[in-house]
Amino acid sequence: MSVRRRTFMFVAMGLTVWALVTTLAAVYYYGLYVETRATFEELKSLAINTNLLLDYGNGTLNWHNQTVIAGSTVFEALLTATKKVEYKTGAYGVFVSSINGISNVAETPTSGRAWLWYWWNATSSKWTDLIRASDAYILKPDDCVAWRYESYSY
Amino acid sequence: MDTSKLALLSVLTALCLGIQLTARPMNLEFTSVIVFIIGMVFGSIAGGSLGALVMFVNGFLSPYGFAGVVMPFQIAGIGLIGVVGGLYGKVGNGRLSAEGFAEAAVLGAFLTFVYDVVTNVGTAVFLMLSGLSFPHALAAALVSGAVPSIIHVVWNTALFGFFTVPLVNAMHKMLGWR
Repeated sequence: MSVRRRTFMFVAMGLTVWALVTTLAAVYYYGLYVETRATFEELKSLAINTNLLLDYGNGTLNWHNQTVIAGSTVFEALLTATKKVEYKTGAYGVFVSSINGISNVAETPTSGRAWLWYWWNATSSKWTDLIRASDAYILKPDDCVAWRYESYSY
Repeated sequence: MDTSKLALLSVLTALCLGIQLTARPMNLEFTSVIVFIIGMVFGSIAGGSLGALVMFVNGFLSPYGFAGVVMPFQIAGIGLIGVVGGLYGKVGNGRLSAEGFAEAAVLGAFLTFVYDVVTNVGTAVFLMLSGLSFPHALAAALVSGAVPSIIHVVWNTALFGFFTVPLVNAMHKMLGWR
């Protein structure tokens, strides 16, 4: 076999292996892409967009436009927005006592300042008190909720 | 076969078997290159038989467990490497030159790829026994084996490229053929 022919044969063999190996790699990564895409689409249907407002009662408003898992409650959305939350769980559900270091204060036995939550009623264009614990309301897509630090008395 | 030849072949067989049965990362193996070198030095029959023997023993005693239905494919794949080593030994004569190193590296890559395809066919047969059709089983075996196969090809390209020519030359000198 001539040197030229022999060199050509080995170069061809090397290129063949390179082509086959890269094809195999491409097929493998395409498979991964298809699988990841399917998982992404599946997860997308499990997520909803919500808007959460933190109103500190002193003019500071923080909006959190976020994605939460479908089935999340207002309380879970709050935990997604900030991890600095203190709360107690009672017979009626979760009662939030502090958000981002701002704690509820009882000024008298019947009045004080506390974190209360409201749901935005798009029909009446008003913040509405649903009178239930934040872990008892399951968010719907594009729900707006607000946590307000405000005075109360009863 | 004279004594020195027999001694060298025995040592290489023991080495090959010992490394093959040692726990190590999957596909980082030395069997192919040793079998190929034995084929080059002692001929196709010795290379092919040794490869087949090593994979037969490996099929039962491998740290990864019993090879089962894949074992005949492993035997065929490594046996083929030994046979090709013998054929290359006749035409290539292990020249210690840049071409010799490059040729060995390319052959290593090619034979490793062929070995992986052959053993993937074995895996496909195993998957067929679980109820898959052959095309599906083969596709599944090839795709799932793609990354290990690439690692295997790269590893053996380096091993064949770096070690074949010097080792073959050293053995030829040891046996008094040069």
